[in-house]
Amino acid sequence: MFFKPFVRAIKKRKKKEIVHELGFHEDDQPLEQDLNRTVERIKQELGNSPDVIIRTFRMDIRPHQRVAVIYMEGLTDIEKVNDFVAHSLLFKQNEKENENESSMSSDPQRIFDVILNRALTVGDAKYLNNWNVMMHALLSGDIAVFVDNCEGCIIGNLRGGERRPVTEPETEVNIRGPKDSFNETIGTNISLIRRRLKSPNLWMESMRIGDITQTDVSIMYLKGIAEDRLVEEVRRRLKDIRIDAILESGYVEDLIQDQTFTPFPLVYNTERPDVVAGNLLEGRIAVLVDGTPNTLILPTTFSQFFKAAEDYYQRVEFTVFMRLIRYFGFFVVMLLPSMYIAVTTHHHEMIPTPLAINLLAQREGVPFPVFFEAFLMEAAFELMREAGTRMPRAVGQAVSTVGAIVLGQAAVEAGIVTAMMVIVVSFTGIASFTMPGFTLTTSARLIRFPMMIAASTFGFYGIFMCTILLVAHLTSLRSFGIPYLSPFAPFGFKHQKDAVLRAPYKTPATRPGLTGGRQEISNQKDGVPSSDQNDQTSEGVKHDT
Amino acid sequence: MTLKKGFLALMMVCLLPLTGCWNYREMNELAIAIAMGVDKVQGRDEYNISFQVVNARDIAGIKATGRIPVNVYSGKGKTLLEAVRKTSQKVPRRINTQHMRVFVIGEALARKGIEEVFELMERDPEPRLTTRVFIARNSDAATILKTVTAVEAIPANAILGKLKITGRVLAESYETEMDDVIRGLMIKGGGPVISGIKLVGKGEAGEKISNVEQTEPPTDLYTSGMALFKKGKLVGWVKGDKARGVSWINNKMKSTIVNLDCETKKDAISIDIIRSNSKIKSEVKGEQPLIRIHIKEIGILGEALCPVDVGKSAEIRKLEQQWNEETERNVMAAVQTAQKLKTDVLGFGAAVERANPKAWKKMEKEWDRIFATCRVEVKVESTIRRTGMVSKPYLYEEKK
Repeated sequence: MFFKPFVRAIKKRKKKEIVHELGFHEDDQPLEQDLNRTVERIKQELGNSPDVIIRTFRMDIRPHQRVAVIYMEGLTDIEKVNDFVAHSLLFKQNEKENENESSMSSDPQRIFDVILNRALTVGDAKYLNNWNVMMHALLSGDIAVFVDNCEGCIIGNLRGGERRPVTEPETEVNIRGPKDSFNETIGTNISLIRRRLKSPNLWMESMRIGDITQTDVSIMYLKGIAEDRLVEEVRRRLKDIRIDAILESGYVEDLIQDQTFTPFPLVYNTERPDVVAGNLLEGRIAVLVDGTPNTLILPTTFSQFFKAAEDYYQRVEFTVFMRLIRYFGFFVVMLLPSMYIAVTTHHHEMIPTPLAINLLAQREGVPFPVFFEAFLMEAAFELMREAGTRMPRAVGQAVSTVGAIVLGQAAVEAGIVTAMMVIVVSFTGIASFTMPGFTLTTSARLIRFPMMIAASTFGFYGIFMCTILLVAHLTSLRSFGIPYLSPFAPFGFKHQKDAVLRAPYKTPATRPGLTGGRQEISNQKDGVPSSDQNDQTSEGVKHDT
Repeated sequence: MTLKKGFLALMMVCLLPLTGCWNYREMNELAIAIAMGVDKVQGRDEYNISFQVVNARDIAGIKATGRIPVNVYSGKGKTLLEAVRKTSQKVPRRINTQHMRVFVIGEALARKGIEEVFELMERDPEPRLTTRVFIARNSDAATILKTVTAVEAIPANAILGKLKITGRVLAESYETEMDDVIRGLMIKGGGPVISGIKLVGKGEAGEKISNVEQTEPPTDLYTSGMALFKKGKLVGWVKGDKARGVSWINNKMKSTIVNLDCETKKDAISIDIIRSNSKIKSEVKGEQPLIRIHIKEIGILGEALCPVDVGKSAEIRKLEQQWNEETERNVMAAVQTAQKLKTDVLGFGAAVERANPKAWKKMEKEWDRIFATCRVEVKVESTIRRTGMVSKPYLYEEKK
């Protein structure tokens, strides 16, 4: 209710932004024939930026025609460019083996065919005659080859330059399972997924979003498993985006989510290709954004944030145990400080007597009310956490040591806070790190504060009221039309196999019902080999030895 | 839509005043009264209330000073509530009885009547009805509360511990909660049974911490027998075998030691009861009801100071028979005491009512008279299950 004015303002802004002055023009302009004019125009449009490299020379086969190779420094692989120029453009007249070629070379336009046929060192080369497309290709790191008095140009994909290699995931760490993670290059990220799903049904669509940034955004899904309507909806929402810049997938997430003002994340993101692959198999859709390792997964449910990639690689019993621990952790983060406040300010009778006396002894001489004490410590903990995230690596040790000592021991010794409060806050802090989907932890961390206020004013009654509101809100949430709390509400018995529990793979599996078109997963016949087959092979080995 | 949202908001706001008693209180604004005592003010129609307040700072946490663990504050008043409020003149904090574990009534007050005492306890939201009740034998409740005890720093915990363990291993007294007392007060022609707590030694010395700075505290609190009430007035004490009999009849027997004779020596064999269950049934024939007490008990042979051949089942049967008789003797002693005091603390009236509600209607008014003369039959079925870790005890081998 309070956000309405903001929402309206945002909606208005969206309408205005559709045509943008700085953006690329939509119209199709053909290229110039005259080489000098082309070069001049490119220079002019890019403001004479020195990182535009223009090399002009004459080809042996056509000494009268000048050729220009244009590319952006740093976006292209220089070695490949040199190779391309040397092998494809500077080949000698006497190397020609075909008479036809020489006759064709008399036609000015046929020169491009010759070059394309010779362009062996370029994986992806094509002819085009469109100024805007050419400019975009140039800025994406392709090279453009122009020939004097010829219409059009050849675009060669020689993208390269400095990229971060595929490294171990930094935020979603695991013990067992693959250790690769996405990097900032969309092509690499796509390949990491494709390598896992060698299926012709893995379909991909690309589009450019961002009037200025022209960021490549791809949606990936498994045809036949992902529901068509869902794909259509994602496509529609992505196409509706009107914004200058997409610098990270967070921009996309914000613009395509179902509801803007909610403490809960409605889109899951991950930097692990195996998580993306797993979710694609469940019928979800991945949205990859160039320039970030964080890939979006749609639609998202609450339970997804409690599933780690490792859950599917570890033993079932352990997985279930860990998931229970994570759910417990979530409630601890959200409720423990407020429950402590409620118990010590309103419901003293609920504390066992020996503990009550112990707490009373600690409270003696503490100058603050419990709520303020809790608030102080939680705020201090949040400060430490933020400092820990932002600070330069070199001073990391200092912050953690000072934080631990000052917050823990010194505060208790000075009698400003009770030892019990330090225990509660640290326990909450530790519990907040248990969730694999880190974004949900932030929700719990935020909700904690209103809960604390409710607890200090109304005790458990306040906590319950807040919880009821929260549950009502959660059940009302949708992610691309899918109830956020599914499969808990609406309850799907079949889908409990991978919610809190995880059924062993031998039991017939079911896709998360609401997202998938096909429900049954054939994991026994053509997927994972059955145990019988395994036995046979192992026996075979024995016979051999 | 707006109307709907407004309605919802209104409903949420309406929920706020529904909290009932709003009691925001910081822990360190409270004086936790772990025990409470009620006495009669001599010569006046007033109550004297005492609270045993915990000095948390001195007994818990790393900064524990080890000074006196509790302080006792008293107040006088015509009603209990007035007396409670009068203590505010002495106590620097608000007295909180949510953690009250022990409730002591002075014997003088108990003899005059305890009906009024529990009105406040039931009406007030703070005290728990599971608080254990004691009668201060031969003394004031205040004196009991003031005594410092060893092992358990908080005296209330000490006497509660003594009562619990006595109830569990000796059965000469058992735990009575406030709730039980209130129900006991409503028994026609009877009353509650409340365990006694006795001050041993010099009272004054027990108020100092030096009392527990000796291996054997000169002043201490012991559990001692059980007080039988009639219509809220203490009419008599039972202890020893009679108290055990009361435990048996009221089905509170958890464990005790029963001594049996053997051929050569009296009280030489100890039976340790591990399980006991009793049922009271009644038959009404004319004016006089017949009460049947049926006890089933299982025990082990705990100690034998004379040769017993436990290998022979006949020997065991003989012991069981003896044990039956001993139990019956205890039970009958309790019944006779109650009948002499004319108070139905044993729940016979309830048994009659269960068996024959119509007849009970007639007897109800004169039940204390009828109770005193009604016939009681006791039937005991004892089983000795185990004979301990020895099959050939050395005392037995020696004698052979």
